[in-house]
Amino acid sequence: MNYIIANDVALTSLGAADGTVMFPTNMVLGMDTSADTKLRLSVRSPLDTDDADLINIVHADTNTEEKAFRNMVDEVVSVLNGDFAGAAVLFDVANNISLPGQTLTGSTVTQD
Amino acid sequence: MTKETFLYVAESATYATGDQAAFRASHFIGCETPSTTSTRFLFSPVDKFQFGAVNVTPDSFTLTHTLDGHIEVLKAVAGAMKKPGGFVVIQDDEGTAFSTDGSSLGSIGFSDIDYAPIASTGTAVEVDGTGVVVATL
Repeated sequence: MNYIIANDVALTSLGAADGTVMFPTNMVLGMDTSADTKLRLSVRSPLDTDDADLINIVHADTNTEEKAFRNMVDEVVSVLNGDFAGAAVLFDVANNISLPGQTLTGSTVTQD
Repeated sequence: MTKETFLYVAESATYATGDQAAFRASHFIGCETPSTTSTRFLFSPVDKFQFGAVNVTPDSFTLTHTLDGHIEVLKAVAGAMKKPGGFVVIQDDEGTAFSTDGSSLGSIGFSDIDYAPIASTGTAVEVDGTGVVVATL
């Protein structure tokens, strides 16, 4: 089992809702598109277990880079299935960590 | 059968009913960050076999820690949960705060966890022994 961290706020803004989550990979529900530039990762909400937390990851516009979404799915799956000793970071604004094809600006965590 | 990792958390020096629990790592369902100095870990409840679509109240423990230390606390507890079977003391409050440099106090029983300093500032991360909350059933 991997434990995945996503954080969309700066260091001094930590501690509010819709900022930071960590979830086990078996809570992942799936991925789809929420815009031409966004992959939406749905994760079962630990606070509202019949609903989902949503993690939006900004990538290149699929109108100009047709494989951008598919490539981002590949990058996300690599993190979900990676071989990590502790937590794996999907993205972290506080520490400027992102996926190779991701744009941190506009990437968001929304808790249910 | 796969070996299970259990996370032990105690919230008070009196160890009163409901103030300590052992959480199965495989029942971990996620986290929230309720404040600038706390992180809450949520688990599927001990009094339910498994939940489906119906919303249920999760079990949880909350750690009170150094300002903005959430990411380091998440990483440390995740590392503990990845241990392949065993018993891990997350926090055992005996009325004493965690060490100021975040180093392990496991040898004298307070915690098996090492918290790294905040990555971007180097600030040591402490967990406050009086800020632990256990919520089950």
